[in-house]
Amino acid sequence: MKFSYAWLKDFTPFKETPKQLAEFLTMRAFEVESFEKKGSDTVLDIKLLPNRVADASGHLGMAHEIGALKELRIKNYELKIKEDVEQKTSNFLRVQIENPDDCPRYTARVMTGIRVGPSPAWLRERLEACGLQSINNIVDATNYVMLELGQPLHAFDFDRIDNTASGKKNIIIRHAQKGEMIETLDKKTYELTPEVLLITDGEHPLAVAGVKGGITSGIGETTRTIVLESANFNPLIVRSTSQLLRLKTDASYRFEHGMDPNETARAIDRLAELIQQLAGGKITRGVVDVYPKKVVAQKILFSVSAANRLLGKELAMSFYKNTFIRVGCAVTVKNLLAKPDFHNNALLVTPPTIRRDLAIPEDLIEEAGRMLGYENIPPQLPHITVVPAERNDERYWENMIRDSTVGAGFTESMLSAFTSDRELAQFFLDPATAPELENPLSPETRYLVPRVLIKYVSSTVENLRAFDTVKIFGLDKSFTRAATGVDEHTDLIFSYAAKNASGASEFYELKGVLDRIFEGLGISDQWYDAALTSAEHTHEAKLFHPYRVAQIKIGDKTIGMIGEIHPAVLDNLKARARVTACEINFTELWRHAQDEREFRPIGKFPAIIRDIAVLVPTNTLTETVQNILENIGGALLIDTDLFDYFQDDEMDAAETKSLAFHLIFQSPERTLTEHEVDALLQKITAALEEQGWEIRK
Amino acid sequence: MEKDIAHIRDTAHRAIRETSNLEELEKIRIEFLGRKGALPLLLRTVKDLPEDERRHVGAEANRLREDLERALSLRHNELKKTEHEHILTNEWLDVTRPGTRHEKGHLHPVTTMLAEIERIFHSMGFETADGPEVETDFYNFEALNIPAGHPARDMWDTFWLKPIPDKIGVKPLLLRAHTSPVQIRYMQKHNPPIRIIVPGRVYRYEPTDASHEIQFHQIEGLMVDTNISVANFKAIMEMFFSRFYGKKVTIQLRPSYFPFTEPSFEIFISCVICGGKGCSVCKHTGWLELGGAGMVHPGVFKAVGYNPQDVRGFAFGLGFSRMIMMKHKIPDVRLFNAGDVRFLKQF
Repeated sequence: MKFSYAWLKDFTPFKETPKQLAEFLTMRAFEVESFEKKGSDTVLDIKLLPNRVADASGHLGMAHEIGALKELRIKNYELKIKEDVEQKTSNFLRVQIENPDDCPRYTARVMTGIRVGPSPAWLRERLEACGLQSINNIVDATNYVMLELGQPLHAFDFDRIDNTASGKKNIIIRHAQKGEMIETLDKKTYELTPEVLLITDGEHPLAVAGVKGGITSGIGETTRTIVLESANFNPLIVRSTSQLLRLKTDASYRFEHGMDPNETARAIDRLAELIQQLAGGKITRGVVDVYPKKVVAQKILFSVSAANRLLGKELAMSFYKNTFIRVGCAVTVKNLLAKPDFHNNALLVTPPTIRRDLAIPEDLIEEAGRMLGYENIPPQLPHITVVPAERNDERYWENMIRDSTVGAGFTESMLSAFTSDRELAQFFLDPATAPELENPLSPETRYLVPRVLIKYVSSTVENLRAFDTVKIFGLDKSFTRAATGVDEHTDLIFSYAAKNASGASEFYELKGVLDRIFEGLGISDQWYDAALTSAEHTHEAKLFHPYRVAQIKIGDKTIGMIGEIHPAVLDNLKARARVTACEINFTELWRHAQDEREFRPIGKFPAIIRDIAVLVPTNTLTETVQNILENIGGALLIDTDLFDYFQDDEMDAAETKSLAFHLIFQSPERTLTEHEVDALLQKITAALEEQGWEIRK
Repeated sequence: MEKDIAHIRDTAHRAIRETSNLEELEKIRIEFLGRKGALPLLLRTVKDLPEDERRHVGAEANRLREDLERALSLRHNELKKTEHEHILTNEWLDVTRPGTRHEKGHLHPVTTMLAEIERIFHSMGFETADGPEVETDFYNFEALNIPAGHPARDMWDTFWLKPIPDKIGVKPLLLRAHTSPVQIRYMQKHNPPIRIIVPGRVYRYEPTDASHEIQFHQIEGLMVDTNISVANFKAIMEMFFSRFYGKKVTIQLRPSYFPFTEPSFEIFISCVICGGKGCSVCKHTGWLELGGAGMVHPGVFKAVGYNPQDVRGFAFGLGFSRMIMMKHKIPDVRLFNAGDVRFLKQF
């Protein structure tokens, strides 16, 4: 908010240059964002805090703040208003508020015989310095007094308000009816809803309460009699109206933060005084003031020792007392023997009603802290009970996975949580699964991403423009619609692409990376299920290559997918290479992790290793062969290790492939004999041959 | 006989001397000393000689055997050495050639810096806590003393989710605009003393530019105990930033306003680049703004079921993305979520 340096100085005799004032205010009250010379004046752009609008959004209030901080006296704010004894305001006007919760106070005056004209230069300059345009002397006066006192004001043309039978004008504050229209001073028309509060003449809207005046009762060149309004409106109503109409004004800004109803009287007198000075005319006698529930100042019981404890500095009662008096509070010393915190060190503080931000002792502590300056509180480490921080397991396993994956050559990414119709369509995902935003910034942020995997695949494809090989991973969130709201979980994603590659070695490399991660997590019962049920198949087969996909399972629980992305998806993305990807529900995964390792005795007796190679049909799963080996091999076969997976042209033509295994036999109790092992190997060979497979010699 | 011995000696020595490989040397040994070699054959004829001559020739022949064995062994060692040298010479490597690199991946700069921040706070007994990113109005606003219609809501431009059809009465959800909801969630489940930090992703409904992104990272901190003061807050911040930047850092608190803290501050640190003298990073002010903070508002303690008379605490939020940008001189916050490997591989 813009403040005139000269105007502030009119009220309080500080010595600081604009720069010094800016620095001082920033440290003690409000951040001064900039200051700029304008003619003989300097304009300060002060960032008011939202809870100080009531008292500091006018120059007098800001001068009060500076005066309090600098311990300076504020010049007396005296009004000399000359009322016309002949004419009573109440003969002109009747004000009726339908619900006092909407409008706690409405103060009005009437002026007759005024001359509308241009404002004098000094007034125009001040308005312009504060970013307002000069319109005419009447409107300018309302704006000027608002800038001076903070209180928003309005002037209506008396003659353009509808007559009532009694000859008096009616002002009725009521909610709008559905479909009611108003054209505002800036010639825009709004259709209203019942949330909107109106100033009306009983029939027609005169103004949107607290936001903007209507054009029909606006001040024109011929206006002679005016009604001045100085009112207080419910902040919630002004705020929702302003949001509804998308109309923010200097008045709505102030009212939505809450203003002090006690300020309306002074402001209307100041306005009448100024208009008389600028436009002549007479001020009718008395005000029409509807103020059913007067706001009275509230007392706060303040403990000096509690304040010292919160600030962490021993300050005397007199310091607090002086501070509160300086900011305009009434202060008395209290001695409450019953409560230890208040014994001998309590103050009863009554802040002025304009300081709406001062309601509880902590608010007063903040005043004391600011006045003291936080730089005057020396840092002091807390005395605390030594409790070591507990490990966050989820974070621990995340980091373990990150380190392991980076070691495998993958680079960590973090991607957008949003997605669009276009992107979902590229991956054949149903938008119904994605939580939709009420207020997206663009079509790209219409949804939260239901499977963050797709962001990684898209990103991989984009990166292929700069790289021949892309290996990325991430721990990122997926959001899906659920019955009660939104399910969010962290996915561990890998995405791997290499130009001119067949995709097969990428698949196996990725699987190797996964197995290393499982090992690091202390998980050993993971397996890859190639057999998708038909339901899963219809669900996943559009996203993944139907013959290069597996479900990742721990025990009987599915925790993810690994596979090559479907060529149709890659076509949609215009990908320059095949992309192999993996998606694991990390929120599930880490719960299976364990970092306890139990020692198993190292075998004392020598192991015997035999190799076996078997020719099987191409579509036979390695797992199937391995299962036979392990079933027949029994407890003495402690490990089977596939060391060669091979297919030459001849095999290819015959649709077969060769699998070669190291078979490791060992007993924990004794040295195995060659004879024993050979017998087992014979049984294994027989079992494999029973399948119709050929053992390669 | 003696002539034969002399002949063997001469030819054997010459052969040993002239050979240049170990295989040939072995052949020479067999030729002269082997079971059917020249010397054993000669010795076999010695038994036919007269007694005195036999002794003489026998002794002579044995000397020759010893002599040849010594010569063979010597030559063997010589050749062995040459052969090693030869092999080693052939195995010469250009040690100045660049090493073979195993391509390693890179951690996201957010991860790396977060780990460092967590390390420091963990050492001071702060635990890491988490919460959901899709939040309710209650946790994001109401429990933090920001009721509906509160003008301070404008401080957090919020993304809202569409209500679920046919779920009347279910309150609309939002994307958390700050990490502060986790304060509430944590305090609801734990009793003081509390020391937590909450790193996390937050969302703001605002146009993006080089310093604004709709999603970014924050770090929230909360300490609650029976007696926690502004002075304590300054000390913890000073300790953290001094450790983080590896040099003494001074904290400056400026007045601010947050509905959930009272008093409230903006946190500034003395510029870590120029030490406070003024430079382009701190825009010649000597200070860097790094977040907001304050003493927990009694209304927040009430909302989580604590007695505000019994507890005090501070809460802070650090602009984590800004700290990383400063540290690595990253000019555009949007790079963090763009997924560009050309950016990511630099860290």
